[in-house]
Order: sequence, then C-alpha cells, then structure tokens
Amino acid sequence: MSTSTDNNASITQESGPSAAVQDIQKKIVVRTADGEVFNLKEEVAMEIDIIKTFFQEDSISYETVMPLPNVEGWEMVKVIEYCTKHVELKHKVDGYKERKAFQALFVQNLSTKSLLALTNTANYLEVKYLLDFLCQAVSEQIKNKDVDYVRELFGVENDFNDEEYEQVKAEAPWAHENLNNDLH
Amino acid sequence: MEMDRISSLPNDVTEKILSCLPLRDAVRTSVLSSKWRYKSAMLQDLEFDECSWRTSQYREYDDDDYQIHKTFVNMIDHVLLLHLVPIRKFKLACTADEVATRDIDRWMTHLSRNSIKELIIKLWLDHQYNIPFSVFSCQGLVHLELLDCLLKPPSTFKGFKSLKSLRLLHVDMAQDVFENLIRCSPLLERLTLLSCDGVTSLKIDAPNLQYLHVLGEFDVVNLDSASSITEAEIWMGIGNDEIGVPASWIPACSSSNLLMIFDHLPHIRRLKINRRFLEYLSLGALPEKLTNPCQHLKALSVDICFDDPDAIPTALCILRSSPALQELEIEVDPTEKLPRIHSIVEEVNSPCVNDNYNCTFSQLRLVKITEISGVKAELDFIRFLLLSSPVLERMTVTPRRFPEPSYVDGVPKLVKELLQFKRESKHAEIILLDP
Repeated sequence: MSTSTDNNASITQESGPSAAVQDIQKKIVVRTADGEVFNLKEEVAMEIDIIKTFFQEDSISYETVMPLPNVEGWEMVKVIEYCTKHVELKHKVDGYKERKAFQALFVQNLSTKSLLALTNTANYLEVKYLLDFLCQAVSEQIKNKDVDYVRELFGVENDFNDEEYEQVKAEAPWAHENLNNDLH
Repeated sequence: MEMDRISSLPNDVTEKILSCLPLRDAVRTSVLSSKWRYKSAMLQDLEFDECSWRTSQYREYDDDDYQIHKTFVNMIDHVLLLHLVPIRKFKLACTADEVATRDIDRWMTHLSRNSIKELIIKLWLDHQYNIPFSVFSCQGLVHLELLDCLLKPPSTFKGFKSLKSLRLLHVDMAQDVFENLIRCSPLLERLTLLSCDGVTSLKIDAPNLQYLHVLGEFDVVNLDSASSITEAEIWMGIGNDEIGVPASWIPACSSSNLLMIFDHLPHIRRLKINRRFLEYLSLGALPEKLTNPCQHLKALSVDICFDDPDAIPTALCILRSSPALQELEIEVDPTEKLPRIHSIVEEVNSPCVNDNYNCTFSQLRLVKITEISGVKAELDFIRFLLLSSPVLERMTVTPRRFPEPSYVDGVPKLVKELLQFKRESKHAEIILLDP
C-alpha cells in the first residue's frame, strides 16, 4: 500500500514509468510549472477535472506525466491537500464539523495574494468545490469593508478621475450609505 | 501597492466571489476601477433579504419599519432598473402587507419578461400574498419556492414545462390547483409540500419525481403515478378535532395501505415515516412481507408508537422486505394509544421476541433509537435488532429527557443489563461486531 508521503509535496526524482507501475495503487503523475513532480492517488487525481479529462477522454496511459504549466508547486500541494480531505470526508456520515475545522486551517496562513492565486488555479484545474470554497473565503475578506480597504487589499488601481468616481458612486447611492462601523 | 491579482481573474470567478457577498457590498465594488464598474450589474443571481437590509440600515432608521421597508423597495427597483443581464435567480424575503403586494407584483412582471429560472419568495406578516398571474407565465422556471402565499393560477395555466424543483411551505391552494400543477409539470424531480392548506389528498402524478417531502393532514396518500421516487419523507397528522383514525384512511376491504404505497416505490433508497404515517400504513390487511421487496432501500427512519399493537408488525413487514438496509433510525412516538397504566402496557404483546421471526438484517450497520422510555416493548425490539443484525457496527440509544415516573425504576436496570450503558450518560453507544 502506498504511504501518505506520496501525496505530500515530496520532490521526487522524475519517476520513470517503471516506478509508477510497481506501485500497487494506481498513481497519476503531474509536473507543475516549476518542474516539481507529484504522484497522485488515482481517486484524488480524478477529483481534478482537468486531469480527469486529460486521461479519460483520449485514454492516455497513466505512464504519461501530465504537464501543468499554469500551476505552481505550492499550489499543487494545497490542491492535493484539499481534494484528499474531500475524498476522505465523502465516506463519512457526519463530516460537517471536521470539514469546517479543516477549511479554517486551510486558509489560515494564506496571504491574500496566495489566496487569489490559489483561486485562479482551482478554476484552471476545474475543481468546483474547491473553487466555491475559495471564492467564499475571498468574499469574507471584503465583506462590510469600505472601498479603500478593498482596493488596498487586492491592489486594484483606481483609474477613475474624481468626476467619474462621483458619477459611478451616484449610480447606486444606497450602496455607499450607512456603512456599519466595521470598516477596517 | 501590490500587483492587482483580482481584477484579472476570469469573469465567472469574480462573479462567484461577488455572489457570495451581500448585494450592497457587491454593488459597492463598481467604484473600484473601470474593470469593476459593471461587474455587479452582470450578476445573474440576486438575493434581497429585508432582514439583512434592516440590520444594515439600523443607524439611520432605528424604529421606523415603514421607512426601512420603503428604502428596501427603492433599492430593489434601483437594482432591477440598472441591471445589465437577464436575472437567472431571484430570491426575495420580505414583509407583505396590502401596499407591499403591489411592489412584488411589479417585480414579478419584470422577471416574467426576462426568462427567470429560479424564483424564491418568502413572505411574512398578516397578509397572504396572492401570486400574480405573471409568475404562471414564467415557462423557463426550473425551481420555484414559495412561503406563505396564495396560489390561484388563471384558468389558462398549463403547468410549468421546465419545472424540476418545487418547494411550497404554508401555501394555500385548492386541491385541483395542486394536482394540476404537479401533473402539468412533467419534468418535476423534487417536491416539498409542507403545511399547505387546501391540499387534502396527496395524490401525485409525477413520473419523474425522485424526491418527495410532505407534511400535512391528508385524507389519502396515492403514489401510483410517482414510481421513480428514490427519497421520501412523509409526515402525516390528523386534525385537532379528530379523535380516532379518519375514515378516509381505511382502505377498501382486503387491500392494504402498506402494499398500495410500497408497490409504487420500487426505487426507494431513503425513506422517513413520520408521525402517523406508520399508522396509516398499518391499516388494512397487513401482509407478512411486501409483494415487491425494497431492493434499494438503504436508510429507513420511522416514528413508532410502541403502544400501538399494529405499529411493530407494520415496521417489521417493511424491515423484512428491505434486504439492502444499512441504516435504521427509530424515534419512539410518545403519543398514547392505550391508557397509561403500567401493568397493561407491560402486557402488550411483543411479537418480535415471542414469535419466531426468522429475520436477518444482513446489511444493517447503524441503528439509532431515540426517545425511549425503557418500556418492555421497546427493549424487546432492541434485543430483537441486536440478535438479527450480524454486521451491526453501532447502535445509539437515546432515552427521553423526562421518563415517566412509572418507568423510572425499570429503566436503569433493564437498560444497563441489555445495553451496557456508560453510567449517567445520556447517549449510549454500543459497538457490536457480532450478536
């Protein structure tokens, strides 16, 4: 039986086909943009739609290493972590609390920059439930915050001049009034 | 300043992020930059909740409910007017009085002209809202959910051709309106019907229906034309002025309610039999086994009144005909069928242990029993389950909070004996590998 280290970010030597075949459990191998190679358990890999389509649609052999040029190594680690947990919880009857606790930890040390990058990656890799969760997490960061805070948090540059800005604001005055004190 | 990482995310991703926000926050993003100006006006799903609006306006209009309602209405008008794309989902939760209904009518007219797919209206207050005719013309509707409304469609109404999911709570409608609505919505897969006055007969003509959840005082339950149901939760009650079993429940002689229902549930996978539905099923000539076993029934939940001598045989008939059953949940119904005299209750025949029922639940892994008082009938049933379940993993038994005084002596002893309770714990967990 494969050990759990295979699913962590172990930088393995580029595993040739013989190594993959020797494993009892089917493994799928991907290579991220920075050259890192990951061995995924088949059931976890199949959670990632882009991988699933790649191998299933054209019946490509699992010996092929799938390139993921748009994904960084650290992002792959996180995605694998989330999908592995998701698969584990699928079989549990009452996984709600455990899922919530896991989700809180998952985003705990992520900077906004990383969170956004990971959101983009989840979208690219087509993992719907991860994307939904990350979008929710991003929205939590800007809920009830004023415009300046949001701009700074996401690095959005204001390309309106003063006149335009006031005009846009006037299109929906009710959205800018009566903000709670929960501003910063 | 950090590089802008959010504005370049694909549109559907930013839309997803915006849709997680309260609408005010989403609309406010329009001033972030020119890229964001129109994003919120292109959201496909809109949710308007007067409660959240009220909370957000608390500083300005502390006590004036009417003022707040006015600003709420203005806001919705504003959003609808400036919206750039057709609205796919519209959810409205607000108060409804005489004046408010005109506003809601107006919004419904607007939505009906824009191929709305999901409509959710939850209203509260004294005035029951009469769903306007414009709603019945929304042929693109896939999901409709209504709370506290009146349903009186025009005579020309021919059903919702695309409707897959329908949820009606406290919606008053005539029996024929209900039947017509269901029958003429051929794609219907999910139906929830809770406390809807006017629907007295639960006769459902929905060949594609998979999920059914109903609660009400029904004269009759007829699922003849709903044989695709895989998941059902049925709660049946009787009116306050009814003393015994309603006459309408009793089937014609030599037929059995149990068979009439289960003959039309060949695909059932999860079933909840609540309140008096088991009693309804027990009426008529009770068979030992169902004609067609429930090959796919994996999870069963039943409210059982152990005082009722017909309850256990009925439950057993279902259990015996469910070879694939993995999870069983039993809630003891405290309603008294017999007078509450201790000795008489003890003498109630426990058919499962006294008779030789050759019964094995070969797949039963999880059993949950709640609200027990420690009555002999209950314990016999538990003992029977334990003896007949070779792969049982866990049985969870939860006693009632306040057991009747007459059982207080019996409970600790019998229970400890049979179940090896942990001391003083309210929830006992037994893990059995083999009986």
